[in-house]
Amino acid sequence: MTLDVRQPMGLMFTLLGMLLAGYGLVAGTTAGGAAWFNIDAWWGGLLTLFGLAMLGLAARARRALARSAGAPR
Amino acid sequence: MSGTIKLGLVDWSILAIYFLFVLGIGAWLRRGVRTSDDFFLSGRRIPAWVAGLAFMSANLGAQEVIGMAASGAKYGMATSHFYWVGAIPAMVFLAVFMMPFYYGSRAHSVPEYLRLRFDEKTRGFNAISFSFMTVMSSGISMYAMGLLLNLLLGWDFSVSMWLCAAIVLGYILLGGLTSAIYNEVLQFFLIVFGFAPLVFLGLHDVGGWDGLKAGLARVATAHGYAPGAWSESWHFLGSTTSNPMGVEWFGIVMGLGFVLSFGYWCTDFLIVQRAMAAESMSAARRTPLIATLPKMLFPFLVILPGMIAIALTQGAGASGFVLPDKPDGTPNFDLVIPVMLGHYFPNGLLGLGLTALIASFMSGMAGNVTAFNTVWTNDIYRPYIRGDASDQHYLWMGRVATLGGVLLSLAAAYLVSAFNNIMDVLQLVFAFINAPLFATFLLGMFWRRANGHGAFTGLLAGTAAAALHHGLTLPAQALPGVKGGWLALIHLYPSEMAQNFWTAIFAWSTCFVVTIVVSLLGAAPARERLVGLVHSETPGIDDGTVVWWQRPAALGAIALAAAALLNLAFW
Repeated sequence: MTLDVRQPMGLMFTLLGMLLAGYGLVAGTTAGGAAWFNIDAWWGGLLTLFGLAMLGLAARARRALARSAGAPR
Repeated sequence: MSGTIKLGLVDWSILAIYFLFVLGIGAWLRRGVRTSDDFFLSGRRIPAWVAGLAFMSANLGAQEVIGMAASGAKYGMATSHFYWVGAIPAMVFLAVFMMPFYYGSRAHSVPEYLRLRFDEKTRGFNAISFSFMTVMSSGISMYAMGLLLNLLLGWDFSVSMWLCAAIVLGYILLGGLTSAIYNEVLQFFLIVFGFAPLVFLGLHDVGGWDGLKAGLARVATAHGYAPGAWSESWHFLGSTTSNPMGVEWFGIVMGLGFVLSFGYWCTDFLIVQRAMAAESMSAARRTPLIATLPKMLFPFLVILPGMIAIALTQGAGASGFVLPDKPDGTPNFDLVIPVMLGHYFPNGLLGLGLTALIASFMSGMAGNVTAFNTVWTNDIYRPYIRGDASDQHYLWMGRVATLGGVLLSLAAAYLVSAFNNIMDVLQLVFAFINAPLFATFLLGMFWRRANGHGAFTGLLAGTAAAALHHGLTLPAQALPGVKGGWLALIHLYPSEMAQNFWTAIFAWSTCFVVTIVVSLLGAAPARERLVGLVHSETPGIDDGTVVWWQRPAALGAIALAAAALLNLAFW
C-alpha cells in the first residue's frame, strides 16, 4: 500500500498549526523582537489552513483513485 | 553565550511532533521495501512534484541555510549568484539535456552511468571520491548542528548530534530512499514555514526594503566600498576590488555559474538520485524543473536574513539586534539564523523555527546517507567485494551501509571541528572532486569519441590540477596551510571565494583538455555500446504529444527567463 505524502504532511501541519495558534491565543502577544504582533496566533492559523488544504488534496486524490479503480475497463 | 535561548513546553511539543512524524513515515513505508530497487531507488515510483521538492530539499543542509545566510551577511546580494547564475541554469541543463541519459540508461547511480559509458576504473574512481565527499558533507552538517544547539540551547554537543543521527538512521533504515524523499518534502515545507516569519519580522525591524538598503549602504561605506556594494548583485562585479566577494564577473559566470554549479547540480548523485527515482522519463525530466521554482525564491528566505542581520548590526534596527562577535572581534556570520530566531521568535514560533533548523540539518544528512548507501552497495561492494549474492543480500547490505554512513558522518563531524568556515570548506571539497567531473560528463554525453582511458586520466589530471592550484595560491590575509599556498605562493587572490572559483576553472579545463587528448590517442568506443548513453547515438525524445507546459524545453525556458528577470531586478 502506497502512502500519499500529503496525508502525513497535512496531519502534521494541522496539529502544529492548532498547537501554535492555541498557544498564541492563550499566551497573547509576547515581548521581544515580535512584541508588536501576536505572530504565534496568526502563523498557527496559516499552518492549520495549509495542513487542512494538504489533507483535502490527499482525500480528493484518494477519491479519484477509487473512481478510476471502479470504472469499467 | 551558551544556552541563551530558553525553550518552553510548547516548543518541546512541536519538536516532539516533528520527530514522531518523520519516524512514523519511515515505519509506514517499511512495508513497501521488498527489493534493493525499492530501498535504493524507491522502485522508481515517485511522482514528479514529490521528487522535485525532494531534489530541492536534499540540498537544504548546513551549506544552504547557515552558509547562505552567512554569505548574505558577508557578501550581500551577490550571494544570489549561487542561485540565479549557478543553480537555475544547471538544473535546466540537467533536465533538458542530461536526464535522458541518466534515466534512459537505467543506471542505479551516477558512477554506474560512468561504467556503462566509459569503464570500470572511471566508475571506481568516482564512486570512492563521491563516498568520501558525501561523508564529509554529512559530517560538516552534523558538526554545525551540534555546535549550534550547544551554543544556543546549551544542549550537549555530542548528545544532540547522536540523537538527530539516530532519527535519520531510523527512518532511512525503515523506508529507504522513499522515506528520505517523503521526509524531505515535509522538511521543505517546515523550513519555509519556519524561516519565513524571520524575514518578515527582520524586514519590519530594519524599516522595510528601503531601510534595509540604507542600512546596507552604511555597511558598504564602513568597509570602504560604494553604497550599493551589499544590495546590488552585478553592478560592482567589474573588478575584484569593488565588491566584498573579491570576484569579477568572469569568475562568477565561469567558476561559479558554469563549472561549480553544473558540476554540483548535474553530476552529484545526491541530487540526481531524486530524479532517478521518478516514476517515468517524463517525470524524471520535470523533477529538476519543478525544483527551479522554489530554488529561485530561496534567496529571499536564506540570503535576506543575512543581509538584514548585518544591516541591523550596523545600527539600523529598532529592536537592538546585533550579531555576536567571534573571538577575533569580527561578526560571527554563521550565527545569523540561530541568533535571529532567538531574538525575534516568541515561544511557540521558536519551537517551529528551531524544528525547521534541525529539519534542514536532517534533510542534508539523509540526502548524503541515502546517496552513500546506494553508491557503496552498487558501485563498491557489488563490483569489488561480492558480486554474486541475492537481491535480499544487497538489500541487507544497503541497510548496513546506512548504519556505516551515519557512523562515518559522525566521525567526520568530530574531524571537521578543526575547520571554522563551513561554506568555504564545502566549496573547496566540491572544487577538488566535482569540478573536473562535469567535463567528463559533458564529453561523455555529447562526444562519442571520448573513451575510458581519456575519462579516467582526465579526472585524475583535473583533481590534481585543483590540488596544485590550491597549493600554489592563497587568499589575502590567510596563512599558508589549509587555505592554500602549501606548495609555494605564486598568486594571491582577494578572497577565498575567488580562489575557490578559479581552482574550479583550472580543474575543469585540465580535465576537458586531457580527456580529449588521451581519447584521441586511443581507440574509439564501439558505436553500438553507446546507444542510450551518448547524444548522437540515441534517438531523440519526442515531446510533440505532450501539452506545451509539460515539455521540458518550455519549462526550462520559463525558468531561465524568470532567473534572468530576477538578475535584472537586483542588478
